Amino acid sequence: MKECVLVVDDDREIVKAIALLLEKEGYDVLKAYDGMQALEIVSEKSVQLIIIDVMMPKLDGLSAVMKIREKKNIPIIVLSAKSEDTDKVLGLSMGADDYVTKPYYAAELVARVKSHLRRYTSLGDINTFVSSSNVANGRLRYNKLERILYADEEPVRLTATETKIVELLMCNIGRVFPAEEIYRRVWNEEAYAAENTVMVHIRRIREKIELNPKEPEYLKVVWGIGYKIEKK
Amino acid sequence: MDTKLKKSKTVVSFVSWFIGIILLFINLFSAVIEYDSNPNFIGRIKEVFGEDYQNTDEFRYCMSDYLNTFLAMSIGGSIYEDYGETAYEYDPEYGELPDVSVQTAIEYGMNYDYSSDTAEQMLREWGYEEPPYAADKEDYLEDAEEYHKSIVNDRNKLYTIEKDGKVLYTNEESLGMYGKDFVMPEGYNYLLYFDGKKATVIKDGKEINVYGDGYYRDNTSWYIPGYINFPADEALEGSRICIVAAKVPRITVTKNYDGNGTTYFNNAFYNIQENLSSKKTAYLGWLCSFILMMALLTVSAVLHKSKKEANLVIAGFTAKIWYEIKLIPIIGILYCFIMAIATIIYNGEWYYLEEIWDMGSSFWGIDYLMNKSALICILSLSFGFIWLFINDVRHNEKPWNKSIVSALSKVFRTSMLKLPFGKRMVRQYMWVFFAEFAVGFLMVLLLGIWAYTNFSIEEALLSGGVFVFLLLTVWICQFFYARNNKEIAEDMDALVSQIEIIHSGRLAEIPEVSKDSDLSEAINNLNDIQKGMKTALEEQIKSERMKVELIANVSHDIKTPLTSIISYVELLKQEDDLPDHVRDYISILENKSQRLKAMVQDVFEVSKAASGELSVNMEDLDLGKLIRQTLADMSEQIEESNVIIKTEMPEGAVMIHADGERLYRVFQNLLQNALIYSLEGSRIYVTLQEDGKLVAASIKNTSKDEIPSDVDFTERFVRGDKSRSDGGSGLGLSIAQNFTEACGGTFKVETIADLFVVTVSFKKVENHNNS
Repeated sequence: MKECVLVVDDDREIVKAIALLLEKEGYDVLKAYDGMQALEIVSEKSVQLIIIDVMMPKLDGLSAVMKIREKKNIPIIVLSAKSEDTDKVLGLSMGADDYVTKPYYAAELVARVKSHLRRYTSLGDINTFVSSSNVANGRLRYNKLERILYADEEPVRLTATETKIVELLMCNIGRVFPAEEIYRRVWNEEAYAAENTVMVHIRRIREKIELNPKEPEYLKVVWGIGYKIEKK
Repeated sequence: MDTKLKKSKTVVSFVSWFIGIILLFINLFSAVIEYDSNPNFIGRIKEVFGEDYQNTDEFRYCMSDYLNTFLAMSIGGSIYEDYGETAYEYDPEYGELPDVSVQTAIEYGMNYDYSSDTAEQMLREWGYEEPPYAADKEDYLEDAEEYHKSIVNDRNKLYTIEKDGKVLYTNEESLGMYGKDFVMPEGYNYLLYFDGKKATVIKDGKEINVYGDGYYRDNTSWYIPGYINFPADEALEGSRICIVAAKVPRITVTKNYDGNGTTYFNNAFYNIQENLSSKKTAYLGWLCSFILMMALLTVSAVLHKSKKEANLVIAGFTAKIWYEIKLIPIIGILYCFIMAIATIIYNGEWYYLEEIWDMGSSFWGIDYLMNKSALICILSLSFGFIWLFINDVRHNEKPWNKSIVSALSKVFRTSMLKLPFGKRMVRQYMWVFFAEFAVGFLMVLLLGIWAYTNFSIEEALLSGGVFVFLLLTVWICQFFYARNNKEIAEDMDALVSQIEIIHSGRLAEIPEVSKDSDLSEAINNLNDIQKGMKTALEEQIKSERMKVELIANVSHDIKTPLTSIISYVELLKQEDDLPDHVRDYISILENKSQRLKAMVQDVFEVSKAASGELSVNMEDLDLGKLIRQTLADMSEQIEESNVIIKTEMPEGAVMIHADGERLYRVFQNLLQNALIYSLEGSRIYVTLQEDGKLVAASIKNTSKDEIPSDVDFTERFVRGDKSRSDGGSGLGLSIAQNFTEACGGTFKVETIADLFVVTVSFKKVENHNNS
């Protein structure tokens, strides 16, 4: 069964571009050009995910999100040209699940759509996976017994060193590790030129687990201090 | 060893200089005194070193006196006729050195310093009708007998007094015969013979010219008759006097067995001889001290560099002393000096100098060692204090700042400064008022005492009343004036506090002013200024906010079509079977649209930062680590480029307080710039230095192109490359600067020829245990 995605934007070209992008990935795409239309479509048809712009005529995106949230529990991605932190916080607190800024990065948008749909349709609640041997954080889950990291429940192929780094960071979510400490604990050696070595591995891990490796969500640098996995 | 030598050199140079200067003073002083007492200085030295007592003025003067006395004795006159000219005796007990030019006679230990006129006058004042010596011839004879008796035992001088061929007095019977033939007994070598008209002097068988050109002058040492202008009295025609002096004079002691005590009368020759030899010692000592002085001064001149150091060391020491304490000895010395001058002027002579010289003349004798030491001490101390004072002023800057008075005034001033302006003014005026009151009171008191002692009570009361009335009038006027001033001071206070309010930025507070105040206009004007400032500020804030809003809206409006462009470029890229040149076009489109995207974001951020709306999340972080992380993050770019990065950073943590994300952007921009604009194959130097409380990170690179000298690189849209053909937005440095400043750091761009240096500095955070 094909998942149905609703794309809402007053800019028809953008809607079309996203539609083309998603249809290529094999999704059904419904289009709406203002908030009211979006509400109508959501109430009439079965929609699994919504991508919605904020600034639109008739009913703006955030009001539409609030209205939809009253009835539906589907993932909603807000797509906006407003890139301020305050805008993001506002959007997420209105009931959106994700916030992507324009101009978006096509691959990232697709990856996010996939991630949200997977969790919504096949995985359900993340809490099911929380057990003594599992550490779950947003899209990520690390199984200590298997020593395997899952992203959106797909196992990620990591090298032995990468696994050790991930284990260290996943078991201490939110804690910041200086490069020297990571080096000491993973390589079991005194740190020498640790920053570069650790950074290379971090970059590789990011490429494997992040949706947009250039703007990482999970594996973050705390500038001037160290590295951490952000709590979601 | 070296420092020890240096130290001892310093000490030696200073000590030798100091002692040398003291000796110089003493020697100069002695010379002045010696010259003052006897201008014929060279003659004096010849006398002293001739070691012949008969060759001195004192001896000649002595002989003259003997002759005069004997002449008086020969004709039965008074030997005490003239107080100033009696037989010259010199008494060691008084230690007085006879002064030849001022004719002072010392007789039996009594010092008569008056001319006969004054003496007679004084005697009359004492109650004598007539001078006691204006007695008859018998008294004269008695006096003469007595005098003869007192000197008869003296073998230093032999004498014969003849009148008309008859010997009246003699202490050597055979001398009459010797005298006529100018022959002397054994042990005697000096003979004076008076033949009734003139005196003949024979020394060692040779005649000495007594009368010179025959005229008597004030400074002639032979005060005897026989000159053309001082001829012998006719009464003396029958008188024959012969005096013979011993070659070596010996002390004569007369022990008075029926009385008590021993007398040492009539030892003039012996005393002269003794004085001569002691003087010789003194001169020799003086010479020694002169040589010593020259040697010491030479030493200090040779070591003048060490001497300078010593001066500085001493100045450093004296700098710590309160100025008042330094002033006390100087004032003391000045006081003594002025008193000495005043005494000299008052007495009309070098009284003090002589006193001091009297101490100094026996300088090298043991008896007066105490006086000598005292003199040296006083001189050295005076000189030392004066020198210390001058040295202090010369080497220390404003030494008077370190004083009790300035410390007190500083305390007073700081305590005054704590008061509000108006109160301070009132307080200052009050002091003047009090001082005036005190002075007025004192004046009334003094005037009262003066008037009371000089006039009658009524007069005193009247004048005092008038004075008090005048004073009260002045005070009352001043009181009203002061009250008016106080009001002004209060208004001033309001004005000052208003300025303070404006300064602190509380523009909303506007005080009320009473309309009749002198300063109301000024305060109103100030209020207008305040209102104007408030409006201007509000408008500025409004316009800044509008600017940011405008840019936010514009960037939003640009982003929407840009999203379409980027999306469709993306889609185009995914199209299969496109010709190669179309693919090239697409990639160009992609690049440029991405650049446009970055630029829009940059413009937005810069405008926000410039208007102070940039949010920063400040935390303590390690700047060294941040730079290392940035370098690691950009390692791919760095590897791709043709330059080498050299880093120089401390091992440990360099903690600062800043926003890590923003600072990362700063260094990313700077490094990107450096990578883009560096000369191929050159090196980029990334250094981090701690300088006291500051931490400075700098990035230096050699520019590929010539750096224009007149460009401010932190201006928005300024690029080293005027053609704007490279990939940057021209905002990199501007963003870096704005972000750095938003984090509380300073951002500096320097260009030295082709070297481009950016320095980012922050305040260091101390006591952080994060390592």
